[in-house]
Amino acid sequence: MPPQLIRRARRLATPQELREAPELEQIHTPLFSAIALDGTTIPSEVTAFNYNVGGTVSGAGGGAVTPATIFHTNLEQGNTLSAPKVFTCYAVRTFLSPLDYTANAPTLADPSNATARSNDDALDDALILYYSTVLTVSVGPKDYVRSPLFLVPGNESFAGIAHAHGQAGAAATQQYRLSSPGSVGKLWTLNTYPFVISPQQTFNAVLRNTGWTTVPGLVDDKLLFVILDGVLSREVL
Amino acid sequence: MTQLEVMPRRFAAPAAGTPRLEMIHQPLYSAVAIDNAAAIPRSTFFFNYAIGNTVSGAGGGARAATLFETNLEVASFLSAPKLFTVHAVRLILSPLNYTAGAPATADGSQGTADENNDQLDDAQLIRFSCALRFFVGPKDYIKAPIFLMPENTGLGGLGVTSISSAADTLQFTNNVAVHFAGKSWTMPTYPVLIANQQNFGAELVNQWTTNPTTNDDKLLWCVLDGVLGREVS
Repeated sequence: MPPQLIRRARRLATPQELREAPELEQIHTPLFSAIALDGTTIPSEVTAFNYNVGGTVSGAGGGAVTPATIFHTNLEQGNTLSAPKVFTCYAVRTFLSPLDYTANAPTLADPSNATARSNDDALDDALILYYSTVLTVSVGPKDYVRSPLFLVPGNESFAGIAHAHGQAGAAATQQYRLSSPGSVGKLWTLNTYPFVISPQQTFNAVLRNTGWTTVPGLVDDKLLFVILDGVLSREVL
Repeated sequence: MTQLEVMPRRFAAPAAGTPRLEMIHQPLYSAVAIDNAAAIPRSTFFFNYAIGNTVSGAGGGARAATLFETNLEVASFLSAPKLFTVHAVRLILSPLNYTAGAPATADGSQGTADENNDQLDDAQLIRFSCALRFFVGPKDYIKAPIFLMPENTGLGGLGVTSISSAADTLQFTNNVAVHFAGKSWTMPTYPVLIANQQNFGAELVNQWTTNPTTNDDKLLWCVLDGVLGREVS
C-alpha cells in the first residue's frame, strides 16, 4: 500500500499486509453510480453502486432499460472493488440530471417553446427529490453518510446570462419557460478523515423516502448520480 | 530536467542524452464537430487530427482544423521530445451555431414570433447524455459523464429585459449565454503523464436506445490543462 494511503486511511492494514501488497498506481477519479427514478412515486428504497458497466441500472425509471454504460457508472463489479484496488473518498456529491430519460432516450424535460401550458418539470422534480429523500453511503457494515439529500449537493449547474421578453398580445404558443436546476452549496467533504474502500469490501449508497403520509412522485424519468470523489489506487500491471 | 523530475509522480529517470526541456503552462485541446442533421454519434474521437487535418465529427465545423480547433502538431501523440502533464480536464461547448462553417449566434435575439432557445437546449442534451473516455496508451484515466468535467469558463454579467406595452407579436426575445460550472476534474496530486510519442486521445461516447439530436451544429472541445515540456532549441 502506498505511503499516502497509509497516512490517510483510517483502517490500516497489518504490517504483513503492507509488505505483501502489490504496487499500486494512484489516479484522481470519482466512483459514481446512477439511479433510474421512474416518473411516478419515489420508491421507498433504491440502491446505487450495486451494478457494473453492462449490468442493469438500478431503479425502475426509463434509464434502467438498457445495459449500463460509462455514462451510468465506472464500476467493474457491483458493490465492490476488485483486488487489489483501493479507493479513498474525500467528498460525496449527488447530481440530478435535468433531462427526461423515458424509454432510454434523453430528451429535454420541458420544451422551450410552443407549449401553451406546461409545468417546469425539471425544477419540480429537483425540488421534490432533494427535499423529501435521504441518502446513506455505507462501506461494509458502517454508514459514513446519513443525511437528507439536500445536504449532499452536486455543485454542478449552468451559469451565465439569461433574459426573456414576452408580449402581452402574443399568441399562446409564444410561452417560454425553461430551467436547468442544479443543487449547489457546501460540499460534503471528508478531507481530514476520508473513508477507505478496501479491495473486495462491499459498499453502496441507498436513496430512501422516509415514509411520508403521501409519498411524492416525479414528473419525468430521471437519473440521480451518487458521486464519491477521491483517489483510486489500481494495479500497475 | 529538474522541474520534470519533481513535478509528476510517474516520470522515469531521464535517459542519457535526453535533451533539455522548457516547461510552459499550456493546455492541449481538440474539438469535435457535432452535426444537427443526425443523432449524436455513438463514438467520436478528440485529439485524432492535427492542424490542417479535418476536424473530427460531421458538423458544420468539420473543416480543415486551425488553431481554433486544436493545438496538436501531430495527431494522437506528441512529437519527441515533448512531454505533457495533465492536471485537469474540461469539456467546453461553444454557445455558437457553426452550420456551414459560419459561426452565428444560436438564437435570434429579436423579431422572431415563436422561438426555441437552441443554445440551452443543446447544452443540456449534450452535457447530460455524453460520456468521456480519456486514455493514454492502453490505460483509461477517465470514464465518466461529461457533466463531471465542467467548463468553468464563459460569459457572465447581467441580462436586462423590457417589455413594450404596445401589442406586437414580433417583440419576443429569449437569449442566454450559458456555460457549465462546477467542481473541476483536477488531478493535483497524481497528474497523468503523456510521454513523447505515446498514443493518447479521448472518446466522446453516446450510447442510448435513441441518441439525442441537437438543434444546431456545435463545437465541443476537450481541454487538457497542464504543463508542456518542449524542446529548448
